[in-house]
Formats: sequence, structure tokens, C-alpha cells
Amino acid sequence: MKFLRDRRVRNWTIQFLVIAGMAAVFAVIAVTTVTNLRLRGIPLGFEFLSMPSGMPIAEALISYTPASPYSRAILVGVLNTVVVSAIVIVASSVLGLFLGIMRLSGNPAIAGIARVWVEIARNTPLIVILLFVYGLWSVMPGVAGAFEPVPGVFVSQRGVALPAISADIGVAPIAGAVFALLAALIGASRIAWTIQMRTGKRPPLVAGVSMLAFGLAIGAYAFGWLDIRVEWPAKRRFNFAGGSEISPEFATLIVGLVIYTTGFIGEIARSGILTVKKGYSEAAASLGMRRGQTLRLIVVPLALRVAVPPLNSQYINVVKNSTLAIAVGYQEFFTIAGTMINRTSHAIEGIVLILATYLAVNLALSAAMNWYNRRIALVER
Amino acid sequence: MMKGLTMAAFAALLAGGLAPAAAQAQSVVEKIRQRGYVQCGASTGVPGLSRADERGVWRGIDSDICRAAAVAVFGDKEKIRFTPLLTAARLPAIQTGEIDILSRTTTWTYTRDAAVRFVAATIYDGDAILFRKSLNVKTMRDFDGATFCVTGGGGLPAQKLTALEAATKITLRRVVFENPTQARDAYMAGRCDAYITDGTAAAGARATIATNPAEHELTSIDNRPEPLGVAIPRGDDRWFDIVRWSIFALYWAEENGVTAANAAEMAKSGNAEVRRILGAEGFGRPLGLDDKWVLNIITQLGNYAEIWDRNLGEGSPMRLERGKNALWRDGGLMFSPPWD
Repeated sequence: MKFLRDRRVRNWTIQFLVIAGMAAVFAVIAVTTVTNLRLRGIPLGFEFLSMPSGMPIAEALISYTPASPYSRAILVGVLNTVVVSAIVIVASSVLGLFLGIMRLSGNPAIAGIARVWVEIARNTPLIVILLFVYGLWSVMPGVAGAFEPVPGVFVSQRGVALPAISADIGVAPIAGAVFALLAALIGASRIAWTIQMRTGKRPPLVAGVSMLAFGLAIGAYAFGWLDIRVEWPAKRRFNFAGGSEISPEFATLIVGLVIYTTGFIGEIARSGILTVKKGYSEAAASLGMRRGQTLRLIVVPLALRVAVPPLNSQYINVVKNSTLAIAVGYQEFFTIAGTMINRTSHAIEGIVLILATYLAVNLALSAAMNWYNRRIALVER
Repeated sequence: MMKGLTMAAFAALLAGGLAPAAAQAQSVVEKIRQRGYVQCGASTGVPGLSRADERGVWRGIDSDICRAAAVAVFGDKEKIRFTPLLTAARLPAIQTGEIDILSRTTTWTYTRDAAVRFVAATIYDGDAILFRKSLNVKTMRDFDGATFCVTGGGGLPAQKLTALEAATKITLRRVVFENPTQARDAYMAGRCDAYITDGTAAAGARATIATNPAEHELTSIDNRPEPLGVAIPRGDDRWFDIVRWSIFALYWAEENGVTAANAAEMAKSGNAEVRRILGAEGFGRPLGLDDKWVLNIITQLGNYAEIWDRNLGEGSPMRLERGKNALWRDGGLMFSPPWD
């Protein structure tokens, strides 16, 4: 029994037993489930994914009809979830940064407004915010009396109707142009930085590239090389036709999630800014930096180091909170998967699919945030 | 010593994990009797079908059908509890055995019948479109471009819309909600021009939810009967028999003029068949029930006509016609197999 006293042997044995125990628990759960399912005559398997779904989906980014298979419906749902999450994450990060700065403002009115926002967002269940925002649409005028804040933009119970801009160019040339522009902007910024390092003066290369690109686009349009059309929404008997449209459900989900998430991100931004010692700002000021420069070049980069890890959890929360879309009639992944379970009765496979998808999306998001966190972390020498 | 403890823990875990498997072998009827009440799956609130009133008592024809099964087993209509279920949760609730019986506007279909066990159709419904009279819609074609509030979870009425589009070459827009009450409320709030759902639910929405029922109009898409049925878990034939014949008892009683008021009297003075069914010695034995089980159902709940009248018919705000839900002799689809 001497070997039992060896610490390494003991550690390994305990680890082995814990892992074996967990494996046994999962095995028992799996075996029990499969046995019970067989007893009740419930078949397991993912073959149903290739059957026509028969379910209507109001808003799809890719072509979809009820004759499409369930796998396509799921893809539509995942895309909707990703788009909603991405818009909410970007919007509430920008707004949250401003909210955090506002809360630290010396002006009591500005700080007060920010404080009210944060308290409302933090102390109200998200679903209440969503249902409240959704309820606001019912007091909007009907299509006939739609409210027109800007010519061509109509707000009614049916959502927001906007003019649509369409151009007869393929996706490839547009993507190519965007890519070329981005590359040119990054290159210009690099060259400008090198010159600034050498001479102390930053040549306006980025602005130059932007103006050149803008000029090219205007020129191409003027010479008729670009066929850009604007389609205006028109009132029909029931709805607006033509143009593009933001549905009340989509708008409610975005607005509700942004109100809620911004409140939390605002507090993260405030705590990040508060960790930056006052001496840094004073040092920047004594070097002749303006207030905006100090904030942009000194305070925000230092604050980000503290803010990124909690931001990561907020972003993951956004993805998970988007499942509340079910309450306001917007069909994202969770709603569509729920309908699929109801129609096919494949509950276990459906739940596995839901868990795996959210895990994959959130792990990817986390990985990106961790990469960013390492990049901006204080480099110790 | 450590090893012994670990082994014991494993054994306990294994036993704990496998115990549920053993418990599944118990039949649904045994489980119900042991528990002392029937667990019934209800909707989240459809007037006339299943909806809790202001005192929390479930009202509606679907709820009363569940009560009939409870009376058959326990002789007491109060021995029942209701679980409100969202559309997406209703079938898994039966499959997992969380509820004993689902009576909640569920259309009887091929794929669903393969997953659970449909017992009988209790209402023959048809899909109906509820819309505002001010829209001035005369034919289906006039709906071109209109927005419909639909339910994604149940799906059959929504499929009718797709078929309607194809048949009349019109384009409809949809807002898809998770459950019928959401879709209904969105229609009432003006989000949609029309709302499509089961005919009885649409009539109930107009009669009891709309602030001014006269503003709304109902139209049916086609005249085909859509069977809304009662479903139970698979694997207990005895429970299947009890639920099925509790429902047939309601049709039989109506056909033979047995009502809540006269059932006790008929049990003594009726013809031989009526006397036998209403409690002759040994009548309940084949199903393992009390001999007076049919009598108990009718005295406590009334026959199908009485249940219909108080929930959907003349005694309710809906005042629905029986239509296809009338007995066969009145031109409907309802009948009971022979009780021989």
C-alpha cells in the first residue's frame, strides 16, 4: 500500500475516478433515455431535417418557402439570430461607451439621464421592455394615415417603409470594390503612420483616399456606368408595396435588446474609465492633448483592458437574450427550432440542435473576444 | 475503505439512474389512480375550448372532455388538474408522460398520431379567417397584399393560406407567432389585416376578446372538416379505452335523450339498453371502472349537446351552430359505436 502514499499516484487516481464517474453518469442518462424512448416507440435520428418544413417564416435573408426542408428553415433561423445579435452588439457597444462617458459627466443633467437609462435597463426584465416596445406599435397610425417624418419614409402599425436603393451590379464587383477600398484605406493609414513617425507630421492620406473613392463613385454614376435606382414605397390597399421595410417585430427586438444591453455596457464602460488614473489624463493634458484626444488615445484604450472580459459575457448574453424574440413574433433560430420540434415531435434531437448551435455561436464569439483581449492586454516587459 | 465508498456511490448512482426506467413500466391508469387525479393538458386560454375563468376554474368543451375521463376513473369531476401548455410544448408533454391526456385544439394528423396516441375527434372544426368589416373584402381574391397573423407552431391553418395563395394567384404577407393567443392579440391590436385559426377559436375571439364584435367578420376557407382530437401517451391500451368510451358516452347520451337532469331517473325507468349502460351490475368491469361510470359522467357534466351549449352554443357568447358537430341524425358527423 506504499504507492498510495505517493502524491502523484493519488492525484492521478482521484482524477481518473472523477472522470470515470462523470462518464458513467452520462452513460446512464443516455442509456436510460434511449431505453425509455424505445419503450414509448419514439424514434431517434436527424433524418427529419431533410423533410419539407411546411412552416411559414415571415422574414428570411435567404430564399425560403414552406416547401424548403427543415435544415433550410434552421439556417434561416441561425442567420436571423446572427444578424440580430450583430446589430445589437455593435449598436449597444457604441451607445454604451457614450452612456458610460455621460454618467461620468460633470453636468448633472447629462449624468442624470444616463443614470435613469442604466437603472431602467438594469431593473426591468428584458421581456417587459420588449413587450412595452412592441405595444408602442399598436398606437401608431394605420397604413392609410401613416406618419411620414422624412419624404419617402413611412411609419405605421405595419413598421417602417423605406425607399430601396437597387443597382444592377453583381455581388462580385461590389465585394471587390469594398475590398479594394478597405485595402487602400489600411495601406494609406500605415504609410501616414510611418511618415508621422519620421517627420512628426501626419499627411492626410486617409482623407485623400476616401475623397478619391467618393469622387470615382460620383463620376461613375454621372457617366451612367452605374445603374442605381431608387424604389419608393407606395401605399396600397392593405400595406406598402415596393421599397424596403423594417417590420415592427424586428425593430422591437433590436430596440428592446439595445436599450437593455446598453445599460449594462454603459456600466462596464464607466468602470473601465474609472480605473484609468487621473494622473494619465493630466499628463496627457500637460503634453498639450485636447480633451477628445485624451479620451480617444489614452483613456479609452486603457479602459478597454478592464472592460473587455465583462464585455465578452454581455455579448454572449445578447445572443442568448435574442431567444426572447418568441414573445414579439420575430422568428429567429430558437422560435423556428421550437416550431420544428412541435411539428416533428423530435424533441430530443431538437434540443440537442438548439444547445449545439448556441454553444457554437457563443464559443466563436468568445474566441474572437479572447483573441482581442490578448491583443490589447498590457504587454509586460 | 475509500474504494468501498466509491463503489457504494457508484451503485447508488446506477440504481438512481435506472430507477426511472423501471417506473415507466407502470401503466397510465395505475399512475392516475395512485396520484388521485387526472393531469390534463389545456391551452393558454382559448374561450369556449379551454380557458381558466376569473376564479381559476377551467371552462370550455376541451376542459369538459378531460373531466369526463376523470369522472370515469374517480366518479368525481373535481379529480382533475390542468396544465396550460404552449403549442410547441403540447406533444412533448404527452410523450414525456407529464400529462395523461391532451385536450387542446390539436388537429389529428398522420405524423402526430405516430408520435402520440389520438383517441377520438371531439370537435370537427374548419379554418376561419377573422377580418375587419371595414376592409370591404368580398372574395378571397380581395385579400391580395393583406397581412395575416398566423401561428407557426400548429401550422395547419397557415398551410391553408399557402394553398389559398396558389389557388387564387394572390400574395399574402404573414406575421408568425408562437401561439394562437399572441397572434389573436396582435390582430386585435391592428398589426394584421386578418387572423386565421380554427373556426371555433376565431368565433370565440370575436365574441369575447374583440372590443366590438360587430366590427369583425368571419369567413371559412373551405368546408372540409378538420378533426380536433384528444391525445394520450402511447403504450396503455386500457387508458385508451377509458378515454375513448368516456367521449362516446357523451354522444350516446345525447342520442338517447339522457341529460344531466334526467340521467338518474332514466337509469331506473329507461329502456333495457339505457338501464344497462347507466349502471347495470358488471357494466364497468371490462374497463375496470365503476358500474355507474357513464351515469356519473352524464349527471356531473351532461351529454355532448349540453356541454356544447354551455361552452360554445346558445348558453355562451359565441352562439355557434353545431354544424358538423351535430349528431349523425341531424346531419352532423358525431355518433357512438354500439355499446353491445
